Amino acid sequence: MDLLPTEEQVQIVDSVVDVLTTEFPRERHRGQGNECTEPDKAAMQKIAELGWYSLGLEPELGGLGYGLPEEALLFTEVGRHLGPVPALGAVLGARVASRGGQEALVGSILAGDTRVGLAVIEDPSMDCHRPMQGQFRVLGARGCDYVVFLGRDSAALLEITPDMALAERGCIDATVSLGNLDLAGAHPTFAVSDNDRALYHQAVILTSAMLVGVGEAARDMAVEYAKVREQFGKPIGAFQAVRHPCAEAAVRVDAARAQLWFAAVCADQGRSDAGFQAAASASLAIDAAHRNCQTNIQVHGAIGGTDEHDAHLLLKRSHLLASLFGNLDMHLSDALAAPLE
Amino acid sequence: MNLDFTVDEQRFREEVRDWLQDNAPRDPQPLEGAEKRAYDVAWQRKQFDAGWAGINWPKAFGGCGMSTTQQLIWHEEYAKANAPDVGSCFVGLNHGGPTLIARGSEAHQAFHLPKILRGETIWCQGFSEPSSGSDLASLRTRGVLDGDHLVVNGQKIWTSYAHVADYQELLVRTDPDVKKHKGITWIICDMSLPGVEVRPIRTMSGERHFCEVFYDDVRIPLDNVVGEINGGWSVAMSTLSFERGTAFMSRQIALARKVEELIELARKTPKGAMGRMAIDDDEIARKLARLRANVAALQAMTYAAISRNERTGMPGPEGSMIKLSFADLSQDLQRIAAEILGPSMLEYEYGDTGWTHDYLRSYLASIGGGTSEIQKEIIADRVLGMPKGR
Ligand SMILES: Cc1cc2nc3c(=O)[nH]c(=O)nc-3n(C[C@H](O)[C@H](O)[C@H](O)COP(=O)(O)OP(=O)(O)OC[C@H]3O[C@@H](n4cnc5c(N)ncnc54)[C@H](O)[C@@H]3O)c2cc1C
Repeated sequence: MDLLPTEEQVQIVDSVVDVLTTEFPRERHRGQGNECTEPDKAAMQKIAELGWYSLGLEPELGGLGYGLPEEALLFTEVGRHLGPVPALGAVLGARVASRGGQEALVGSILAGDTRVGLAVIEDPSMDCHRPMQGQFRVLGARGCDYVVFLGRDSAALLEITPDMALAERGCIDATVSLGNLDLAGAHPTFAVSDNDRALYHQAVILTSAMLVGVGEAARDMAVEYAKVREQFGKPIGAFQAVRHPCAEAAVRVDAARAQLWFAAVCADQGRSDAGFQAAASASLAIDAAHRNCQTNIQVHGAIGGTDEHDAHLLLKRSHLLASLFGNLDMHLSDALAAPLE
Repeated sequence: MNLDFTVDEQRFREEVRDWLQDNAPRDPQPLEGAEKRAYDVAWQRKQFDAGWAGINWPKAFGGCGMSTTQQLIWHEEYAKANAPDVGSCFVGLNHGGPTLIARGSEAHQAFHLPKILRGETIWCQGFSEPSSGSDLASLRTRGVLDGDHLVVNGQKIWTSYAHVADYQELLVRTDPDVKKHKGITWIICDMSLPGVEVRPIRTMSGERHFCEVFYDDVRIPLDNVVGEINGGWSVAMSTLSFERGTAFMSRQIALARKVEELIELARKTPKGAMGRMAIDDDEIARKLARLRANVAALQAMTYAAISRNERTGMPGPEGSMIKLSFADLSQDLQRIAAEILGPSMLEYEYGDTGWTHDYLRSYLASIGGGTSEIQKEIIADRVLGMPKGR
């Protein structure tokens, strides 16, 4: 047993961080108001070329043959750096397409030629084989060719055609484009069953990974600031009212990160408790991200509550991710109901 | 112990209720800028014309001279009528004006007070600086005597409404060589003076609420000094205690109203299985119940504080406790709202009003007017007499 990342995994992380800090630095979102700062197709194609989308896919399918743990490490960094959320659409879209035997589509998604938006799933019990009814919010909606739907037991890809109303809306997290898709009984382009819930667990775990990244970024930002900001002649990090919330933030997100890794390995190996572990991971990650973001704003004082600082971007991203696949209540119900090993 | 208002007080309540019902503006209050100013001053003018300006100001200075109980009644009816937040008139009515009443010269009072009451001038509070927030007394913006002027250089930040203000209550360091509380001067700064530059800052909910203010050789006549040169700290403290006292009542009563709106939201927002509403969720129901109880207690605390004030004529130490609870409860309320709203919160744009806006805005509640950590320090120091760690 060794739960810590291997040397090879650390190298993957390093290369991802390198790309994020040079190509997609967090600062590019700062003070942009309502301007959506989501990377365009060309920028996303660079990511595709680097193999982010193919990282966890089997080599027969054109993938690099790593697994969920590596993908979780990647998406933790995406979360930390407020990187592009549509990358998750591509990873999950390619996975669903490969399950559906759509080889050409897999190739096109992996190359970044076909872009996949993420449907926000309010009710994970949805049956993706059935015609789709009602309003769906889509993340990464701008210029997407497909939308991926992920329920607990089934998944689908829906091709966006010109006759579909996909109306862009302002997103609380302006780093992501949000669309409203009004569907009146549209048939999915194709749907797949997910009897072992592997797709769903992957979606939940990679979302948790981004939340863990957000929670760690918030912790680090708070701690760094507490070390340099002085009031009353000393760094505010010297006051217990600041130190203790920072320590609590550290414990929360450390727990969430360890659980994320544990859950990623369980899901990767198809263990019988994968569902429980994923649900536990999601509930810890949501909580750690939210609360660390609150702590971070409070530790910063007024500057933390402005549009000119990154603290609010992290908070808003945490809200976005927390409701992507179900919500905290649903993850908690799963954490109670799902079997242990 | 009783909750009986006198016949006069009841009659007063009816009078206030009738007037507010008929006159409170119904159109929404703009979020920022010149529109907000125009809205706020128009409402202030309307209150002035009807004799309701300066409810907490003495009659001798043009105010209503209401007792604290009457102010309470006013604020309760104000919240019931859903009248708008005092907005950009806040500092003039609750800081600047009262400071001039307490410490200003006759000339200051004669010139400024009527303008504030009539809604002709907007004031802002230039206290905080980039490196002096919680530790206000460490402020460094310099004021140097030059004949009959003070020449000001430096920078303020977080000055609410500075971009729409006419005057500022400004704290400057006039003697850097004495203990930090001793070398500060409180002066009225005309925002149109040469050398004053204002840059608005957006909050995380998107509106330009506060500003940075830069001073480059700004020459302010010494006549504008309130209190003594280097005696500004005590002048500033008289306003701060005012802020933590009755000025807070209105927002706190508005909070109770907001709780009822939140319960209404929970009744009509679907959550979980088909046909179920957020209020049917046990956890949300309990959180709402606890919130309602806590907000009731906050109101009771205010009643106790007012009663003490009526008996002794002195505001008690409850100010910091009420401020702290208010910040906590506003944030609790908004977090429950966020839970009820769920993914519909994701649709939000700067300029939107409503629950998501208020949720984002609530993060500032535990920072503005002294952070919650500092309120706890004050409670431990002044209310409980505990040993100081700072
Ligand atoms: C909405 C809003 C409106 C405002 N309007 C005005 C205005 O009109 N005029 C004006 O002058 N100012 C205004 N302010 C500024 C406000 O007074 C300051 O933000 C506040 O005093 C905190 O200062 P700071 O932001 O520099 O935070 P800091 O003082 O840097 O505090 C950072 C963190 O350290 C903590 N901390 C600091 N010292 C201690 C300690 N001794 N013990 C424990 N914890 C500590 C704080 O609680 C906080 O969590 C406004 C602020 C807000 C948010």
